[in-house]
Amino acid sequence: MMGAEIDDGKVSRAAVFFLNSGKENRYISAQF
Amino acid sequence: MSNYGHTHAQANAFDIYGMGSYLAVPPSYGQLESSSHNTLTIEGASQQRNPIHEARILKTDLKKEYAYIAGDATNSYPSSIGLDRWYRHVAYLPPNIFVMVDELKSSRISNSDLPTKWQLNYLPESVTTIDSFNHVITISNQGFLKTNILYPIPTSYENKRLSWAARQVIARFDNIFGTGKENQIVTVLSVLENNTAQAPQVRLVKGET
Repeated sequence: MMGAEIDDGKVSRAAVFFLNSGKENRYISAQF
Repeated sequence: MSNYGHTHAQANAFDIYGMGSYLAVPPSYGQLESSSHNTLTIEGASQQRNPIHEARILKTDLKKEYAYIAGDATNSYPSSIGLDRWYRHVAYLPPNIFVMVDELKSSRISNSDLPTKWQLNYLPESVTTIDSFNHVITISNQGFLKTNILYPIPTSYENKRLSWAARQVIARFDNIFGTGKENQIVTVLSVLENNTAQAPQVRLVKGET
């Protein structure tokens, strides 16, 4: 799936991924 | 994320208050249809205003770094449009950013000319601008709500009066299932203190499948 990568100038980088494997294990991964 | 209250059809809708003012708002009394809420019109279809078409929360994940919630409003739409999935994923990245992904799946590739609409209501006293080149909607009140539409590229925008209590911006997508049974609408909503505040740099990310 798609998501967005964000750089707001305060937090160095924040990436959000929405992963859809087609199974029930949907999850979000946020990296800072 | 429910269509139960006041029998408003508002599954997967959202409101945002920030920096001292309401920025994304419900439409007030008398506006019962989902076309008047911060939700989706899918291939011309509104949500069915009946508790048997209730939505559900799929998952919540509340952490210090972010809050994530996913709502399933598939059942809220009429079976005639052949919708197999509308999951709205929302991630709140403190203190001021929301990432929203509308995961859509149809039972068929469709050449329907009926539009899919991403809807955003705001107070009449707010000032709203639409940058249709960069696909940024800015709602200005005491605070500012900047919405980046990252995917897909909207066909057109509309800005109209809903009621005495609300106006509405619509990002319209034609043929959302024209090239495949699955599609996604990816948006980033940022609450800013003022219009000169540094807006976050955002870009689309394609995750693993």
